[in-house]
Amino acid sequence: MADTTNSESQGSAFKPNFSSELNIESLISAPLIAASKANVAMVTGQARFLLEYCFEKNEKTNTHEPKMITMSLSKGIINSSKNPGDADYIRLETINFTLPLLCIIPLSSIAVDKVTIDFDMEITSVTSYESESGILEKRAILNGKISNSSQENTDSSKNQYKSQSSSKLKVNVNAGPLPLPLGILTILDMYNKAIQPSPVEKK
Amino acid sequence: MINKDQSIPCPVCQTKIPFDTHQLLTGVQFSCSNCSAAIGLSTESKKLVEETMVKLEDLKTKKVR
Ligand SMILES: [Zn+2]
Repeated sequence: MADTTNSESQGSAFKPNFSSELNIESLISAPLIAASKANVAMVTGQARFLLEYCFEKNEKTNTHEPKMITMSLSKGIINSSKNPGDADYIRLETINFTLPLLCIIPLSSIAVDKVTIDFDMEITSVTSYESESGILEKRAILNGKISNSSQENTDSSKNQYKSQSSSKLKVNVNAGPLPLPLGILTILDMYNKAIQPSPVEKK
Repeated sequence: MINKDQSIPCPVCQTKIPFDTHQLLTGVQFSCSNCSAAIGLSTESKKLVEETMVKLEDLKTKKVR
């Protein structure tokens, strides 16, 4: 499916230091924050696109007005003065109607809807702190290192492993289409209901 | 990222007419299943729709930073 992208997290967005001890919470939250940032970027990108290309700014009123396009509507009209066998018994009539451009632009929201974080962790230390609410309640903080896969494969003496890069943290990001935001759906619905055909001017 | 349920109501009978913007641009008309009226994109608006579709494609391929 074109809508779905599976990719391991890469680039500057998420780059934990595998060799040092990490807090398990930050290890899990980092890819989630990256995904959330990606979602925000996608939504703002689309909103900017709508305002920039599907609307025109009216400087006088300081409002955005939708760009309109013209559509044609063809319909067969029966000429009652003719007989069914006649050549021009059914005449094709074309009328025009206008529609906001955004009604025919295939907009859809795409967003990260599933993030799978998969890693093995060696717990190296455990600390705890008292929660704000209860004196008796203590919360643990687990610290650890992401397990290094090279340690599991030490049988081969000739092939040396690049230990840094083989630390196992697999982040699977799934992006899927979401329904359009309610605001855009309302605008589309409003315009769709107001479609009025008008006769084509004969030139 | 194609909006699968793209449709506009038939100006004659309000029945939803499903359409595809890329096909509209090639001159294809879409007919109403109820009253067989056919809708198409007028030639004067073709350029504007074409340009906007190119911009949308740019937006989709732009890398998220
Ligand atoms: Zn109809």
